[in-house]
Amino acid sequence: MAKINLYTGEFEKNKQSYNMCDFNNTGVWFSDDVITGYDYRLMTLFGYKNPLTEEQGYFIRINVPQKGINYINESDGDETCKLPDFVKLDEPYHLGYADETVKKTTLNSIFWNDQLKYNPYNYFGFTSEQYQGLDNNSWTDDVYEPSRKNEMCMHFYTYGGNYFTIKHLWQMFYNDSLYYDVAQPFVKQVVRTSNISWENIKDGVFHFGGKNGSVLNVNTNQLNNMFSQAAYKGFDYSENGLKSCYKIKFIAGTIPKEIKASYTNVDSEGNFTTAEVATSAESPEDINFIGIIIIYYSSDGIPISAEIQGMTLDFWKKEGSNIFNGGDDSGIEGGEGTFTTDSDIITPDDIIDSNHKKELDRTLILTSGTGGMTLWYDFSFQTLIPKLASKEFIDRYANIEYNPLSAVISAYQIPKYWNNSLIMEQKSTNKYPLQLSGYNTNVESYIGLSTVWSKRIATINLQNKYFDAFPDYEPYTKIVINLPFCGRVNISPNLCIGGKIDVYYSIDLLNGNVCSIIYTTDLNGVCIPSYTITGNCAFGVPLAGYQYGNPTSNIINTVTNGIASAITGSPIPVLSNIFNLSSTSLNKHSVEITGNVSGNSALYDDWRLWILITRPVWINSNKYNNMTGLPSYVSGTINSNDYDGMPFTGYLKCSKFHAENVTRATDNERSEIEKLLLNGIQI
Amino acid sequence: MSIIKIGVTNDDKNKLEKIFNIRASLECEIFTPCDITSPILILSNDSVLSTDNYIYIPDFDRFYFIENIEKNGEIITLSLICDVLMSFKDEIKNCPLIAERSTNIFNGFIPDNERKFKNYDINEFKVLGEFSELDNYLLGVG
Repeated sequence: MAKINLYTGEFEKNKQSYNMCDFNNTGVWFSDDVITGYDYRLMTLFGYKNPLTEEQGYFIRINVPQKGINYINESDGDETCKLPDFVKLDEPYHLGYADETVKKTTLNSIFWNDQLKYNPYNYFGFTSEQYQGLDNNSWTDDVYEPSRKNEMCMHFYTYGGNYFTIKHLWQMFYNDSLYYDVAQPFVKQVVRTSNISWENIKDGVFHFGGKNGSVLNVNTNQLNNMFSQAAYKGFDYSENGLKSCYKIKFIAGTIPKEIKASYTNVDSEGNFTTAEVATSAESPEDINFIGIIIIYYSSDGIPISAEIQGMTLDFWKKEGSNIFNGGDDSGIEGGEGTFTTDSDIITPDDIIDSNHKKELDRTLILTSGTGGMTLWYDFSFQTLIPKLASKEFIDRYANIEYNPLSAVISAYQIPKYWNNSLIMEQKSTNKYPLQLSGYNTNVESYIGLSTVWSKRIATINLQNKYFDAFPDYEPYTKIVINLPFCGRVNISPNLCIGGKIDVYYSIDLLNGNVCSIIYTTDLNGVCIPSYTITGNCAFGVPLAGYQYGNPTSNIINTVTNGIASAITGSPIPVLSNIFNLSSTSLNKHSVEITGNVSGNSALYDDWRLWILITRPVWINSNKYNNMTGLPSYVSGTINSNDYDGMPFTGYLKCSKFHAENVTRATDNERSEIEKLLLNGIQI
Repeated sequence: MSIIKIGVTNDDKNKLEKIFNIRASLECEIFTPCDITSPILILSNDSVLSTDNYIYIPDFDRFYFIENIEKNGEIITLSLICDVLMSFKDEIKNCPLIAERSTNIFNGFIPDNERKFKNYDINEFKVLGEFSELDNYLLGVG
């Protein structure tokens, strides 16, 4: 007997095996070699007790969705859908059928041009501690009335490539009978009759969808571009002594990225807000999983359970199928073989996220002001500099070879705010007198405790705003980002249109070095650190240097800021013979302002982070499509194309046409036919 | 003598399935030897109207455009050219093909070289944030 393995938690953890059953109105259990032959389009997982054999287990039942149905939203047209809540899951949710031995590929099913491929590395799990009657070992409900068993099942399917439905069916056992709610448009199977009326059975059908899997259009009246409510009933079990379902969260996305989810509130009156699902993938075919989280609350509002992980289902592209909307298939079917995407697909574990940066521990090199290196912050140069050039300072250190100014490694200025947030995020609570090698300048100053400022400073979502077609990409669309202190960079739209750009900035507060990393996420959700640009944001401040000792010496103790070398990459120049010293008195000390004023021209550039997207404007002609068509590269026949089986209509120009089937025609006529089809015809 | 159907089609020549408004069925003589792809018909002068442009010959099971009309007294000679699209439309519809361009089955992500763009672009500019002011720093020893 075939089994299904359900996993909770991590891979290969908490495995539970259940019998697989084809619940095809007969309660017949799957035999091992039957599963692979089925056409899976809608899968329902049931926990079931076979009334005939008393055998218990979970099973999957396959339903066939109806094709071509358009759902009309029941709103009044102006109602906008609730924006999705973005939920981040703590652990990945998986679904899969796995044989006793996990294999790379197991079941494949045909769903028009898509395959539902059960990836054995994906699992779904139930938290068995929660009460939903899913406990395989116990079919007795201690909370509900005796002999009443509650099951939860999920239906997942997609059709038309445009939208999908998740259905939650609450099935009831009563008096050992099993039945379904026939009000569902897709499930009309009654296994055994029951003496419970259908009105007592509550279920919800949540229809939702969206074009190409992107965030759904809030215009609820657009057919096939928006999900609709249909046959939904609220979850209200209070009259039956059952717990009421409070929230259902639908999630779809690509593991392990942040998943966009929305939910519908279900109150006791059966009202609910229209649910939305926003996927991270551009195309429904690229959705890697869909999951449901159901939160159950007691009728008095106290949660009785934590979130229940739901099922996820993998959708994969059919091998060699014609995939539009960003697919990478040319549409030409291979004659002798098909390619497999198994080995080439980047698994969710391989996806690079935006947090791939190293954290440097700089705390070891700074001290708190007494000995060692200190980062003095937020003081006044106007107060400090005169002190260092004062008579008192010179008199004190005139005859001492050691110059406290030599304790200054660098003096500089760095931008203070990013969008009104302080860049020096941590500093001492109090101010202290600035000290240099034990010399107390009496200049009050904070001590900076942060040495690096590192932030994701911007995220820009880039939608296919104008075209959802080739002009959104190179070379038609151009993207430029200005990175303060680093410069401007051209971003390839191929890396981010339909996805997003994340800009990370790191500033080394010890020298003003800036490192900017731009992460691009493309329409398939692949995130990569595409660009790294460095610069410097520090403005060096020259401090007074003075000469002591031998006034004729050409050695000038010069305080230059280390930033100059960081910018120019050259060693700090020793400035000598800059000033002609007066030789009138050996004891005359001259104060010389030296030091290299750092020429960081980047500081005079734009301090703003901005993005410029330049998009082409194409000229639309009403008859363009009818008279010239659009690029296709789909194979098939005029009567039936290989993508969706529909006939070609309107204008058709072929790149290849074989007229051998026109046996009635002469050779010349066949040549003429081919020539006409290659030049373009109207159908 | 053969029977032909003569009439008018207002559809473009490159239209696969044309609407043929049959005006009349006529008897005519087909000039021999005859090329089935471009036969020559001989009819009486009053049987062909100036508006006629399309013919179906059941014996050949083909449709034809009237390519040339010659009048010689009471005789009209029609030079025909086979409309291979209409004549074999059912077979053509079942022939394998790869579409290069299509009105209803297309992929918007394939660059369309026939698409025209305006000479100016649309610019979207957005400021996402800015640095401001300056703070004083001094990195020192002791």
